[in-house]
Amino acid sequence: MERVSVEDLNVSYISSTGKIDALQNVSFKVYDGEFVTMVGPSGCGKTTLLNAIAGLLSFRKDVLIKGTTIVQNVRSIGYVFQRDALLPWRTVIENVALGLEVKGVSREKRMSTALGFLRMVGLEGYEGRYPHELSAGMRQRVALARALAYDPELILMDEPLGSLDAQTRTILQDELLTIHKRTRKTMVMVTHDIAEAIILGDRVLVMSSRPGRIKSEYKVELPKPRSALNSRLDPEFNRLYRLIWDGLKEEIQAEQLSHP
Amino acid sequence: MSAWTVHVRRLMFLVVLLFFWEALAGGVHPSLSLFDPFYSSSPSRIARELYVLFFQENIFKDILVTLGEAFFGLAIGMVSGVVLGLLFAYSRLVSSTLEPFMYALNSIPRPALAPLVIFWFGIGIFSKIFLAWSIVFFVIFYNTYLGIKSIDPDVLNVMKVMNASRLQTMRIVILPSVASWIFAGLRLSVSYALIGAIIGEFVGATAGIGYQLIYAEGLLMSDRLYALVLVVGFVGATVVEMAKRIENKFLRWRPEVSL
Repeated sequence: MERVSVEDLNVSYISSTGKIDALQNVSFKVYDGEFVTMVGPSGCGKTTLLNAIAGLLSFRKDVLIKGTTIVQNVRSIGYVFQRDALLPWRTVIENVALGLEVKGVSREKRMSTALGFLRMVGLEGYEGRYPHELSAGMRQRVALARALAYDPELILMDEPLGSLDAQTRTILQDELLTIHKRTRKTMVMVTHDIAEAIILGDRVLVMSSRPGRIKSEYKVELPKPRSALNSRLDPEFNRLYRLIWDGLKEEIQAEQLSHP
Repeated sequence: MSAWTVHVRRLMFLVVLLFFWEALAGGVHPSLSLFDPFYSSSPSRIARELYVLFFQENIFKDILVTLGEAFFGLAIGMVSGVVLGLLFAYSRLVSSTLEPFMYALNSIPRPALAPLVIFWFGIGIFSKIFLAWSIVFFVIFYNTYLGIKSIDPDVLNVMKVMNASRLQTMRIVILPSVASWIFAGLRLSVSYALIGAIIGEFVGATAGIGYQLIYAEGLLMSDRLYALVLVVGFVGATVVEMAKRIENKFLRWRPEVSL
């Protein structure tokens, strides 16, 4: 079953200096339970694409949208940003319970659910802490638990591990794999890290430089259950890495030639 | 170094200071006299005057009057400041129209306003409440506006993705953020309210610490002026300390910031 289908999507930002095309003729589908990752040169409109799927662009007056993004049988969406976007005045558990609170779930019920998800991301015992008392990696786990806790059918992630150090990142990649296996949520994640895209993704979409198009698509045939380390040691990983990097390099070079 | 030795050093410093003051004003021995106590006063004279103020003239009444004026100015300033701050943040029409006027009004040094305010409201408590309000209002207004503008856009996106209503976003994100900015400025607001009330009392009043100061000046009671300044200082410190306690209680979630 298709969860997301994007068809011939064009997005432009209108500013006082003119029109900037962010996305051009983007079409792709994401199926139920799939983990799709996207890589592309910086500024290629990856975030714009996620925001379009999340329906966040339709609020804005300075954005021109053509084409369609359809999310099917999706009542709610979870979104994890690069910066955790937690409410600093709320404790960890209150942050995780946020989506349930918005839904109107009773306090007792949402706290016990939130506790379950905190356990899932390995933060049991931290429920009463405030975000500033946690490390960046822990805060990002809280953000992930928050996105999962209200049981959305689709989870969008915009470079969620981008600001973390390499070790923490590897650990969280493994955790994302585990969570995906356990919850079977449909996940779409944007990253600038090719290795991460291969390790996590069932499919990797490579985007072109601006205006962003889907340049190519790779199915990742690494054995499951996966782990960050085992995947890196697999010859298939190296083959895909080279393919994706070659494609991406062209785009980055083209970008640098057009904007010296 | 233990906290105890710090306190001892501070106490010693104070004792030495008071001793020299007393001595130079001629209170220890006439031969040591250097200042005219009419101008310099002395710790013993101030102590005597404090006794008179507290036990014979009921200065408590004046303290309560000034605190009451400051409190009402603060309360009204908070409510009106938040309301206008929200209006500014939500309506581009309102903010772009009124912005230069707000700036101009806030540029007026409030003491310059005091005679006019007495003219409008008389010499009762309302003119003091107005003056206290006129300072607090702008502090709260700007803090509210900044509190809303400083909200992480991603947090608002999270709320949108969760299908939160405008009311929920207001209750869960916007008002707490505004409240945190207001509490962070509470100490400042409290001292401003006190300043406003006292300025009002200087210009025209029948009670209050400011009124007592002007009264003592008129009668050339220099010792009393010193004693009253001490009282004002003590009252100010107490109120600001209370504001600090409230700040800390409500802003527990913040990383420790030392000043």
